[in-house]
Amino acid sequence: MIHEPARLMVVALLSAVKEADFQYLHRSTGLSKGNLSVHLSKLEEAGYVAIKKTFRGKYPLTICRLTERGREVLENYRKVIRAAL
Amino acid sequence: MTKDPKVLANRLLQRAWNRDGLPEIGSGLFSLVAAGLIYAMQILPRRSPGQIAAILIFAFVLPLYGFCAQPLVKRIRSRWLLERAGYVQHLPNRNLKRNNLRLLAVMAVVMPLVFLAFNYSERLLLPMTGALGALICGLVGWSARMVRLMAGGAIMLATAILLALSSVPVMIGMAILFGSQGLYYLLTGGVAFLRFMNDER
Repeated sequence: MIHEPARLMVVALLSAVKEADFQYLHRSTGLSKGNLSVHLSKLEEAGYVAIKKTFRGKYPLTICRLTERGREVLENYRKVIRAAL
Repeated sequence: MTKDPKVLANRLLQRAWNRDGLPEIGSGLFSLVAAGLIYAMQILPRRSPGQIAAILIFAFVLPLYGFCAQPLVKRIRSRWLLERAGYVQHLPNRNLKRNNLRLLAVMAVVMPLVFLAFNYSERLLLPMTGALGALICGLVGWSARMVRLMAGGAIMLATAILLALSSVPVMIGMAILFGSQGLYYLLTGGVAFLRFMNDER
């Protein structure tokens, strides 16, 4: 699931922050909004990412956070990659 | 694209941090103020109120930039650039503090040794400052894969060496060095900021 380059970027970025909103992920990864939305949905379905919709003043925020399961999967992936290199 | 998630994450974070040019603008302003203070310290009469004020500001106020820069940039982004930059809550950066301490430790050992080796030649101050600045710019630029940051470091080193080889007095040379770096980063940061604001994404 997370070996796919776009999803790996999203998961890697979320692992390095506490939480980030959709716009931050969109600008940081360079993915189009549609593409990012699809990947986030898949990651949320798999239980790797938690998504919360809220507001800051009048500005809507879609906040994404990596779950514990997501961190475990990422760490396992990292071990596999390091062993392979 | 690297497959190591940690390396990938660091690179993306660094690029995101520098994307809007605000940190560069801050560095540029800091360098220009430092240049002005160094120049003031040289040309004002010794022990005049102006010179003393310049020394005190340089020694005690300017270093505060190191502590205030990141929170200030975050505040500006969350207050005025939220819709463009997006929202992020960073993790505490334990590595940054550790790396800063390592850098300070290395400087505390290396600098006195180099000065001793060259019989306290004060002209060493210029290339050493240039080298340190180039190292910092190069590391930050490399980790974010941003050429303009690495280029700034190279320009700083070249300027420092040229100034060291010239007959310009050392402290005036330092003022020129900081001033030129300040102008460079104000320019690149300003261009980056304008591009960021005009980006329709």
